[in-house]
Amino acid sequence: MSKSKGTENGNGGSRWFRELDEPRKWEDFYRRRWQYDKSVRTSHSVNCSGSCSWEVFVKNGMITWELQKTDWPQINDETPNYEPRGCQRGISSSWYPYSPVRPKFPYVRGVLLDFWRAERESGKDPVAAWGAIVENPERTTAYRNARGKAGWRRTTWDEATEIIAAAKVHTIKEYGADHLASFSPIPAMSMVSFLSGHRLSNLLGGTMLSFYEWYHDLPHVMPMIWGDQTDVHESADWYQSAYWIVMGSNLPMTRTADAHFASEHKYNGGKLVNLSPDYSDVTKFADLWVPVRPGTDTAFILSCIHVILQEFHVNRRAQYFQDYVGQYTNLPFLVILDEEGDHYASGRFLRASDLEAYQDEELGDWKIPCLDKDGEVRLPGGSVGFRWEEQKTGRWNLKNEDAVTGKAFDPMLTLMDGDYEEVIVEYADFTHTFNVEFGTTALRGEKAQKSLRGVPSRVLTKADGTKVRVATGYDLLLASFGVNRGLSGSGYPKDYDDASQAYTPAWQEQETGVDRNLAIRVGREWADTAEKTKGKCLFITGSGILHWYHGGSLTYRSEAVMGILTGCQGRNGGGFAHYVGTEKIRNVAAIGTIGNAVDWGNVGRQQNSTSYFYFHTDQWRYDGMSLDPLWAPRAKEMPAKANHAADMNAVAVRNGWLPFFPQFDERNPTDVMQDARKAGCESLDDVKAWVAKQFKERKLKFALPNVDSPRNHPKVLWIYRGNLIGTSMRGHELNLKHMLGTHHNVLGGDTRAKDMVNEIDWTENAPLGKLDLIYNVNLRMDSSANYSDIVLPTAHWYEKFDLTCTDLHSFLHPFTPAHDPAYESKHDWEAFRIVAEKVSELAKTHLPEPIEDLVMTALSTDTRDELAQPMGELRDWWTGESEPIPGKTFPNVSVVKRDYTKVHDMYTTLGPVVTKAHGYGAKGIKGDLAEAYEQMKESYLVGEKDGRPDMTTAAKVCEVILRISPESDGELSYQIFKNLEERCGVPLAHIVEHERETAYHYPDLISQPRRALTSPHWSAIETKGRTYSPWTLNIETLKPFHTLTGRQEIYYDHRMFRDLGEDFPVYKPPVDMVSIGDVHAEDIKMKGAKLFRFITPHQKWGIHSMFGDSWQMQNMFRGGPTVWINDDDARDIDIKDNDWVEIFNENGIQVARAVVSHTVPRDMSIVYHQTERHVNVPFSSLARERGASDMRGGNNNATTRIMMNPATMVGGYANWTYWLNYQGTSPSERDCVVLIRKKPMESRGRKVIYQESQLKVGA
Amino acid sequence: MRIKQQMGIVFNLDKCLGCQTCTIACKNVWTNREGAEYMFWNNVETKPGAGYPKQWENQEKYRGGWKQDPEGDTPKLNQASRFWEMISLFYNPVLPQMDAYYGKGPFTFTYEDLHSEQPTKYSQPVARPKSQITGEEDIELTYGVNWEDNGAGTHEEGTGSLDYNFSDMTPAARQALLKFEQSFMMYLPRICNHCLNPGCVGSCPSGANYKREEDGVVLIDQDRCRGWRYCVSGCPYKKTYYNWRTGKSEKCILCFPRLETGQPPMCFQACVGRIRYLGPLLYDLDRVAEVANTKDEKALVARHREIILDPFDPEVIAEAKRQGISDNWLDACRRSPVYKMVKEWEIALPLHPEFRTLPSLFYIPPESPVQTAKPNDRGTLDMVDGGSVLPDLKEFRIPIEYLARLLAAGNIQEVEKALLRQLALREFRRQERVEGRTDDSILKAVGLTVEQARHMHRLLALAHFHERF
Repeated sequence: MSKSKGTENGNGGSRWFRELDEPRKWEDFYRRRWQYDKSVRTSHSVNCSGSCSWEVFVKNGMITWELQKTDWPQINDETPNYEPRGCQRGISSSWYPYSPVRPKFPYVRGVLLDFWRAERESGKDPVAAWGAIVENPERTTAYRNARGKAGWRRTTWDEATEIIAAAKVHTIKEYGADHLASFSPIPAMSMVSFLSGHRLSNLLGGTMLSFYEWYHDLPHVMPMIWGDQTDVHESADWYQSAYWIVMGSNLPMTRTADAHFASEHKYNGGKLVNLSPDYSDVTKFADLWVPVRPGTDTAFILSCIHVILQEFHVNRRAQYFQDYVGQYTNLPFLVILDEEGDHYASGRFLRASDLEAYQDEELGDWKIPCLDKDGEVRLPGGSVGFRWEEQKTGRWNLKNEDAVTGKAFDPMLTLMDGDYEEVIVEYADFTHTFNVEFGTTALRGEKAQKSLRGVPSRVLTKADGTKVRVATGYDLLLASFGVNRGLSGSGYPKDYDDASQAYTPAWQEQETGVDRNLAIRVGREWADTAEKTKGKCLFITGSGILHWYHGGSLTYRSEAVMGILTGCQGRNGGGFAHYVGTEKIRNVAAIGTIGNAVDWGNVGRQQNSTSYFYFHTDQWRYDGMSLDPLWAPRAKEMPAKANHAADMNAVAVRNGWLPFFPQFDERNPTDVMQDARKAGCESLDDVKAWVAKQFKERKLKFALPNVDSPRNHPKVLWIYRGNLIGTSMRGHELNLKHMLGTHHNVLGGDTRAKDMVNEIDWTENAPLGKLDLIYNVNLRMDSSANYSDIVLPTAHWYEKFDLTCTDLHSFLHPFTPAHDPAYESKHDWEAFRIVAEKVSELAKTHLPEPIEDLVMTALSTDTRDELAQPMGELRDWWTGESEPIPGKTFPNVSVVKRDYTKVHDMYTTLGPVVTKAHGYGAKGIKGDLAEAYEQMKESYLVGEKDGRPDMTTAAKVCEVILRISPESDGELSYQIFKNLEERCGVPLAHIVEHERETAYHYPDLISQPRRALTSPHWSAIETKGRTYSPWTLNIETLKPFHTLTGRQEIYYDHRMFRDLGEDFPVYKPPVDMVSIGDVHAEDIKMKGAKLFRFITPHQKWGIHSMFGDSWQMQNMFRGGPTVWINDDDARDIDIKDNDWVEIFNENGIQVARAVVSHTVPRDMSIVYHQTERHVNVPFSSLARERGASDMRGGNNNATTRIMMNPATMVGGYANWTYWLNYQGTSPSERDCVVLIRKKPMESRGRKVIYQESQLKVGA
Repeated sequence: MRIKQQMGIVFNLDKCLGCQTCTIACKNVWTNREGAEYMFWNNVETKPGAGYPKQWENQEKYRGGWKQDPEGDTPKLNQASRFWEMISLFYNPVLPQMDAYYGKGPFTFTYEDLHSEQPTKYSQPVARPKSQITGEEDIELTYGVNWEDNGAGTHEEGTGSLDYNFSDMTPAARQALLKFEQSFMMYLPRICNHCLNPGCVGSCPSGANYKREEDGVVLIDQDRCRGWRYCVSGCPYKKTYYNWRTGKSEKCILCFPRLETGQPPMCFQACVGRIRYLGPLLYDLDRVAEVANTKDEKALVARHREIILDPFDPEVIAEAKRQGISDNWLDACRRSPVYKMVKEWEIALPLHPEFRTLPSLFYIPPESPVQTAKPNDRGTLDMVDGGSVLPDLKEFRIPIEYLARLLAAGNIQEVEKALLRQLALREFRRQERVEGRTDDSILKAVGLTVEQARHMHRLLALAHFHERF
C-alpha cells in the first residue's frame, strides 16, 4: 500500500490517494444505491411540448427514478441530436406514483354520497335515484356548495361509475345529450388517454370541448394565413437558421428540452434577438435584448416591416422577395376600392365572377384574378374555388399560369409598373384608442382615427358593364405601412423620424419605449440575412404575446407577415414558429376519427370552450368592454350588428360561424327531432327545411340568448388529463360562483355588461350553480379534483401504454408501464370503458331503442362549407337579410341515430365507416382503410372483436393508431398523396415513393423512437434527413395552402376584418382594463396599493400546475405562489422581498409572496402560472374585509377573466370556417391589470394563517 | 514527473439554461433520504447572487481553501494552523449553519390535507408548508437552494449585496449593476470540483477523504468519517455536507458507480442544455503543490494549465506507459473534449482559482446581450453592410471584470481570450453560411486555425452523447 501526497499541509491523518488494490469496500454503499432491477422506456403526458424519451428505473418492484434516454435517431450529421430530451419537471415525475397528493381510490364527496346512498337504499333504480337528487333544489344547493371543501369518502369503482352513468342517462333523457360535456386537452401528449373520454362523449352525443384556443394556444393567424390549425418547425430546424427573433417565448423556461439549439445556433453563425419586457431566461442567450413595454411588441415588428418594405421592396427591389411574394402570397390579387365620400377604402377581392372573361368558371365567386406584368387580367389556379369543383380538373395548384388558358405569366405586384391612377385610400390608426399607461384612458377607450394615403389604382369593366376601381394587395400594403413612394396623402410619414404616423421607427418608440434605431437595425439585419440565405430567418414565438387581446390576431400576424415578405416561410430554418401547447397531433386522421367516433358515422358536437365558459360561468355579465375602440372609422355594418363580445358571439352562432351547446332553448334535441318526424319530415333535407322554418318563425330558438335558464345549463362535465378548474379557467372565481355554485372571492358586482348587451337575455339574479355533476379522472388532488363531485384515480404515465408526439421533434414515441397501475387506479381508456359499460347497462332499461338526435354544428373548415358565405359578407337571416339555410346562412343540421345499449360495443371496436371510399382522412384530404381494416383483425397486436378491429385495451389502440396513420404507414401516405394529385395536377406521391414499404408497429417504437413519414396531412417534406419546416411541401411542390386564394393570406378581405381595420396587420394597443371597469375606482385610491400590469407566463418549476406541487419543484424556488415585481415599485408600496402580498381586482383575490427583483421592469407584475391554490395558499385579509364567501387566496386566475376578440369569431368563409381547435375565441388574460398591496398581519400576530381553526371570521 | 489520471470536466456556461434538471437527477438518486434533504451535490445558482449556502465564496467568513505561503513551497490551509484546528476540534466556528442553506430546513407540504374526510367551512383545504427536518408545520420559508433564481431578490437591498464578487466595488457601482437598466444574470452550475489539491482532503483529521487513484474522484470514506466536519469548512466551494442522520459528511461522488460502467454521471447525462463534457486528463502530481502556491493569483489559471500534460507528446506517452497508464486511458485522453477546451483552445477556466485547490472542473464563460441603453447606438452587432456579429467585449451586459473575478482570479485577459475565440467561431460560421465565404483571418486574429474552429464547432454545437462524454 503506497501513500501518495499532494501538498503537505493537510492534517497528519489525511492521505491524498487511495489505490485500486486498497480495501475500499465501503464504496459499495453508493454502488448498491445505484443498482436497479429493470428499466422501461416511457414518457410523460403533461401539457407541454416535450414528448421526451425517458428511462424509468425499477428496484424491488418500485419506481425509483428516471433519466433521459439518449438513443434518438440522428436526423443528419450536421444537426445537433435531440438527446438528452427531458427537463427538471419530467425528471421529478417519479415522486408522483407514490406521492401523498395522489388519489389512490375512487372518491365521492360525502354530502352527495349520503344523498345517493339514501336514495339507492330506498330502492330506487340508479337513474331515478339521480333524478331525485338533482331535481331537488335544496339538495343541489347543499352538495354544490360543498364543492372544493374536502369531506371526501372513499368508494368503489362500481359505485362511482354507477353514479356517473346514472347522471348521464338521466341528463340524456331529461335535457338531451348536448347537456353533457367532456374536457381533456392536447391529444399529442398521450393519444389513447385523450381519446377515451372524448370517444365516450361523442358516442353519447355529448359536447366535446376544445382546449387549444381555450388555452389561448391557437395561433389564429395560422388558419387565417395558411389555412391550417398549426404547423411549425421541429426544433432541430431552428439550427438551420441564421437569425432568430424570439418574442413571447421563454425557451429555457418552457421549451427546456429544445433550448440548447439557441446557443448551438449561435455557434453555427446565427444571431439571436429577444423582445421581452423583463430580463428573462432567454434574454440570457440574446445578442440583442429589446425591452419593449408589455403588450406593444406589434408596434416594434410593424416598424421593422416598414423599414424592410422601404429599403428592400421599394428603394431596392430584392429579386428573391419579389418573386416569392408574387407567387406565394395574395398580394398580387386585385382588391376592389369602395368609395368612401371623396376618397376610397379597401374592399373585397375582385372575383372571376365579376369579369366577362371568366363567366363560365364554376364557383367563380371563389376564384380570384390578378394582373400579368403586361397589365392583362389573369386567373391563376389554386384558390378555394378550384379546390371544391365537382370534377377534379387538376388546377388546384400554385403555378404561375392562367388556369383557363394554361399560359404562364408573371404576376404584377405594383400598378406603378404600368398605367395607374392615384387615389386616396382611408386607413385606420388605433394608436390612441387605449393608452399604454394603463389607468389613464378615458372610460371605455377612444375611437380610431383616419389616415389618408395615396394608392395607385386602375378601373376595370365588370361583366355587368359597370366600372370597378381596383388596386393590388401589394400597393395597398405599402400604403398601409406608410412606405414612401412619392405618393400623396396627409397620412404618409415624412421619414423614419416622423413619429406622427404609423409605422415609422420613431412612431414605435413612443409605444414600445425602445430606441428607433433598434427597430431599423433589426429590420435591416433580418431582411439582409433573409435575402442572402433565401429565407433562413426565424421567429420563435409564444404565449407571452399570444395571450394578449390582440396577440393572436395582430402581434402574431405582424411576425408572420414579416417572414412572408422576406421569403422565409416554407424554408428550412426560416419563418414563423409558434410554440404553445402540444397541439401537433401527427396522427391527425387517426385521432380525429377515433376521438370523434367518425368510424361510427358520428357527427360530433364540438364547441369552442372559450365561448362555452364565457357564457356558462356568466363571465359575460362582468364584461364591461364596448367594441367601439376596435372599429375602423369607416366601419358601419358589423358595429350595427353587435358592439359587445357577447352579442357578436350570439350573431356568430346563429349564422353558423361558431357552435354553441346546449343547442335549443329549453328543448331536448331528441324531442325536437320527434316533432320533426311528427311534422312529416322524412329525408334529411326535410328535417333541415323544417328546422330552418321553425327558427325563422321563432318557434325554435337557440339556447345561447337564454343561457341562464336552468334548462339551458350544462349538466354533466367530465375532466381528465387536464386541470380545467385550476389551470385554464380564466375567471376562476366567477366560475366557482356561477357554474359550480360554491365559495368564491369575487369582489365586484355582476352588472358590468348590463345595458351593453342586446342579444342575451338579462336576468336580475344570475344563477349560482349550474352543473349537476362534475367528475374528474386524475392522479393528483389538484383544483379540478378538489372541485369535482367524484374523483377517479388514473394511472400514472409510468403505468401506461400510450403514444406521444410533439411539434418540437418529428418522432413517434411510446409509453410503456414500469408496473401495473398502482392502488386502485386505472388507465383512462379503461376508466371510460367502464363508464361506457355502465351506460349501456342502464340504457337497456332507460333507452332501450335507438333514438334520433338532432345535431346542429357550425360550418366546418376543409369541407364545402367553406363556400357558404360568398364575398365575405354577413347576411344575417335573423334580421331578415337572408333566409335561414342550414349549411349556408345557418348552422349545419344532421340527424344521428344513437343506440345507447351499444355504446360499449362501439367504444371497444373500430367502426366500419372508415372502410368506405373517401371515408377516412383529415383536413379534407381523404382515402380509405379497407385493406388496413382487414389486416388489423388478423394481427396479434390488434385482433378481432365482433367482426371488427379490437380496441378493448390501450395497447391495442396504440397499434391501431399506427396502422391507420400515413405518418407511420408509408403505403397509406402514398395512396392518399395519389388521390390528392388528381385535384392538384402536380406530382406529390413521389415524395414518399421510397417509403411505401415502411410501416411502424408499436413494439418498434418501444425499441427506439421512429421518425414520422412525410404525410399528405402535413406541410413539410421531411424525408432523407431534412428537418421539419412547415410549408416546404407547398412551396416546393406548389400544392396550395388551404386558403381563400390558395396562397398565404396577407390581405383579409372579409367584412369583419375590414370593419375592424384589420384587413392588414395593424397596431392596436393593449386594452386598458381599468378603463373598462376591472379595477374599482375606490380601490385605486387604497393606501399602500399600486396598479400593475398582470402577466402570467409559463413557469419554470412546473408544467402549468403539474409538477409545481411536488416538493422537488417547490424547493427549486420559494415554495408556494409568488409574484415578481420591480425593486423600485416594491419600495413605493413598502414591500420587501419575500413579503406576503394581496393581488386583486374586481374579479378576485390572490395571495402570494413578493419576489422583488431588478430584472423586472416597473409597473409590471409577473405571476408564473400555474400557481394552484392547493399548495401554500393562506387566507386573505381582504377577502375577510370584504365579506367574501371564500376566505382563501385564489390562484393566478382569480383576477383574470375571459375577454373575447370579435376578430376570432368569423366563419363560413374559405379558411375562416370553424373547426374544433382551429378557429374560435380565446380568453386573452394578459391585458389584465391588478392592484397589489402588502398583506396586513393576521390578528394572531402571524403574517399569514392557513387553518380554519385559526380563522376568526369577522375579526 | 509523477503522472496522475484525472476525470476532467467542462461546463459551458453559455449553454446553461438554469433549469436544474441536473440538480434533480442527482437529488433523486443520491440525496433523497433522511439526513441528506438539504444536500445538493449538484446545484445551479443565478449570478449575481449569494449562492448556496449563502455567501459560500466569502472565505473571510468561511475560511475554506488554501492560502499562498510566501515562505514555503506549498500553500497552507486557510482554515488555520494545526494548533487552531486541534483546539477547535469540538467546536468549528466557521461552519455554515442551516439558515445559510434553508430557514427551517427543506420544505414539504401537508398534502394529506387534500384528501381529508373532514369537510371545511369557508375554503378549500391546502397543503401547508412543513419542515422536512423538524416536521414543524405552517413555517415561514426564508431561503433555499435556488432562492435567487433569475435574480430573485438580488437587487441592492437583497441578496445581491452579499455576492462576494462585488466586494471590491463601491456600493454605488454595485447599485448601478443591480438596477433594471444595467441588469445582467448568468447561471452557475456547481458540483464537487474533484480538485487536484482538494481542501477537504487536506483538512480531514480522520483520513476519510481521498482521491481515487484511477480517476481522481474525491470521496469521503463513510466507514472512516468521524463527522468532524473539517472538510465542510475546508472546502471553499462548500461542496461537502454533513448528514445529521448518519453523523458523517457526504459529497458528490461523480457517480463513480456509473463511471465504472462506462456511463457519465447522472447530472451530465441529464443536462438538457448539453453544457457538460467529461474527459480524462493527465497531470503532473509533482508540480501540484508548487503551482497551488503560485505567488501571483492572476497567473494561477495559466500555471494550472501547465501541469496538465499533453497526451500527444511522445515523451509524456512514454513516461505514462512506464508508470503503468494503459493505452486505453491514453487514447481516451487524446479524444478528451476537456483537454481540447482547457488546454489547447484555452476557452475553459476554473472557478475561483484563487482558492488554490486546482479544480478539475472548468467553465466556458458566457456571452450576454449587449448594452443598448445608449441613444443612437448602431455599431455593435450590426451585421448589415459589412458589419459583424462581433461585439466589443465591453458592451456585454455581464461585466468582464465580474467574469474574471469568478473564473480567473481577476485576470481579464484569460476571460477575454475565451470569449473572443467563441465569438470568432461564430463570425467564421456566419461568413460561411450567410456570405458564402471561408474567412480564416477572423480566426487568425484570435489564434485559431480553421481545423480548430471546425473542431470547436463540432464540440460546442453538434457534439453527440458519445463525443461529450
